[in-house]
Amino acid sequence: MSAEVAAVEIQEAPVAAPIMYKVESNDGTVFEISDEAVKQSNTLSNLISTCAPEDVASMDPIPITNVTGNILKMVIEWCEKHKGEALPVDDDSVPKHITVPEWDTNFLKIDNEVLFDLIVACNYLDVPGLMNYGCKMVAMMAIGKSPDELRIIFAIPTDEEDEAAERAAKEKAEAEKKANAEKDAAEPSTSK
Amino acid sequence: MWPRNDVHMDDGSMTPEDQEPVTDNDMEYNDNGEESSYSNGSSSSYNADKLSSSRPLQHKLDLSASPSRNNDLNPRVEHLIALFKDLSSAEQMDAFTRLLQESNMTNIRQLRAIIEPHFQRDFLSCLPVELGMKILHNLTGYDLLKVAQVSKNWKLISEIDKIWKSLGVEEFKHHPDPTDRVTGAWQGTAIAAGVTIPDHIQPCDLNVHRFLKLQKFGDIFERAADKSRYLRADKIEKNWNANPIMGSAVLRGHEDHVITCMQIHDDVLVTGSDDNTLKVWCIDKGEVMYTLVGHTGGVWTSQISQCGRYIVSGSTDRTVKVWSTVDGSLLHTLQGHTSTVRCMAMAGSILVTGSRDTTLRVWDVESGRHLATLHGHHAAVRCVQFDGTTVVSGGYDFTVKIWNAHTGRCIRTLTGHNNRVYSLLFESERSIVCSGSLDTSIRVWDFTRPEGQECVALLQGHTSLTSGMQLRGNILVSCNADSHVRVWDIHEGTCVHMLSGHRSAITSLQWFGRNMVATSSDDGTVKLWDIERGALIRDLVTLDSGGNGGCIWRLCSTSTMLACAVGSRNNTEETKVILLDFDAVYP
Repeated sequence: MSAEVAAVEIQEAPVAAPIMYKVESNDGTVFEISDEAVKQSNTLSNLISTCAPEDVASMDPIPITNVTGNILKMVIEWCEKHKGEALPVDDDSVPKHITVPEWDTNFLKIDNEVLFDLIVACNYLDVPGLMNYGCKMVAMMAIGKSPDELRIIFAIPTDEEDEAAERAAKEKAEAEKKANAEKDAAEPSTSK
Repeated sequence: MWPRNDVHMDDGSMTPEDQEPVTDNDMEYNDNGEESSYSNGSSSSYNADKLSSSRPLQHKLDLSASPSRNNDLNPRVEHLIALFKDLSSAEQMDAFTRLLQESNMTNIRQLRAIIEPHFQRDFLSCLPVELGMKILHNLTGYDLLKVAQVSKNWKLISEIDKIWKSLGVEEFKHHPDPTDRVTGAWQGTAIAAGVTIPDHIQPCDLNVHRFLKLQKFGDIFERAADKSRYLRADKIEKNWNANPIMGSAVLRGHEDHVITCMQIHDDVLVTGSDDNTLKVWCIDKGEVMYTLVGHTGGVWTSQISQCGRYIVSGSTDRTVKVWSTVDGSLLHTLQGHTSTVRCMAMAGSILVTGSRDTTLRVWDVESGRHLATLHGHHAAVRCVQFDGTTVVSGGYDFTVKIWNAHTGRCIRTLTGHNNRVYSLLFESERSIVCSGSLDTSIRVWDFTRPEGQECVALLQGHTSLTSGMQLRGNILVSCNADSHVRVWDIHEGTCVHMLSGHRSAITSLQWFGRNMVATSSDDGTVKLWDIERGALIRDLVTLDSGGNGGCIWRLCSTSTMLACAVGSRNNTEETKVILLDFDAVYP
């Protein structure tokens, strides 16, 4: 009797495990993110705010239709690393003095293509901390550079090249139009 | 119709087959054509990303077309691609490496054009504007100017007012609107026999500059006002530090007499003199507006009220007079002092005057009423500061006293100086008083501390009388009759910099901008210093008669203009005020 009571008591005091939410990227990959990490994303926080904890296990994954698997994986990794931290307050009226910590600097040493997609995903998922670090990393590519260097780093043609490309595209369109016109002209002749 | 089209297509599909057996030369030609076409496609891809969002789709279609043509034209390439797909990732990498080694530079360059966009991304053009702004908020003004030169898109994003407005938050970036300063005395220059202004623009170039000065709001201001404000502030700072001086003027008056006091409020300059008069000048027009006549003794101290409506003067005739800046009329004569009025301070419309009669008096300048008399000093009162409630006075009795202006009671007497107190600073938010004395020391006091413990720092190093001081945060700048400027940390009680260069007593000091200090001296020079680096920036005015009696008695400035009172005690130098213009227009 007393042994049974003791066993019951032990069972009644389990260690609380973190609640894990499932999210699904647009390519069908499913990831898990803890309830603490979710707080780094305002979008995800709002989505789960009305879910009862006991329903989480049986829920379908939350579909994140705008984000690919590898990008979503990175965002979740970042959120897990920074769970428990306060969200940064965004004040546009003063110059930013953001310092990117070492872990985040290494985390963001990625191709510009990936960094671009990551920033877009942060915008959609509203992860202000990672957004600030991502924008700072882009800004640091630009600090102290001349306009020509900036064009190389960010793959930007000069305005003259832009105009030349526009002109070429226009000529191509006109050529196609002319070819179609000739084709139409041929048809009546054939019809005759 | 339809059957005919089908026939046409059949003809088209047969053409390559016909060509193939004809000659190898023809095939080579086709290969070259392919390269050219591919290069064009690549170039299109490159530009498409930058031009618009619809381009990538078009580019994608182009890309899909090329491989198809490739397959049709060359079965060997298709075979190679099929083999490549069967390889593992590591094997593919090995194949890539070896293929590159077998490729010529033309092909490698084309590959680079294809690959580089994956590693380079035009963030500002491809991201929504609000995200681009988040990136640009991390940049300095200097970097933003570079960004604007990269492309039209970048220029548009970089000129958003919000970004520049945040850079302009520093108070040093705020300036009144651009001034004229081309009429009256500004039509000439201050360059004259005996007066050297190093770095002054050549007089023959002045007319062009005067014309340009009148174009006050340029193109950038119209499309990006906050960027324009930033650029103007930057230009003004450069005008002080390095650029040629683009305008100067001489105001002549108080002939053969000493200019004893000088103040500026907005566009009004007031000079007081021992010729018993004060003159009110309009700086921008370069002319005198009024001469204030009425004192029967030399004017030794003056103030302009914070609202700018009143000029107050103290004289050896023992009176204090209140004048209107609107028309130069005398509003009140305040009597009560029994000796020379030597110093004064104002807060709102309440005036405190200190006198050789050892007392201070409190007045309301609007009504001309006497409010209180502060008794306690045992010798002449030499300097006074006032915040509207608390009066701080220093005297020839070696003491500094703290008073309640409303009750007239002396709250505290600060003792420690061994000689006359000549200069004072009072920062009421921190209850900090700084006093400079003929005992060569500067003391920093906190009068909220228990009695006997008020002195929080003793700054030693000067070797004579401290004539002026300014305090910002924990940094105090002092100028002294020993010819040196010193920069102190009042928290540490240490001297951070000693600025040498003047050869005689320094008479005035003015700290403006972030780290610029101008000083005037009995040696006939005005010097501009960088107190952060502890270095001379440049000489602004030099009198040939310096060292022979020519001296600069007083100096004051706004953020865009400097005025110095010039003269001598032995008639070697004409009495006048030299003005220097450091303003700029909005670009």
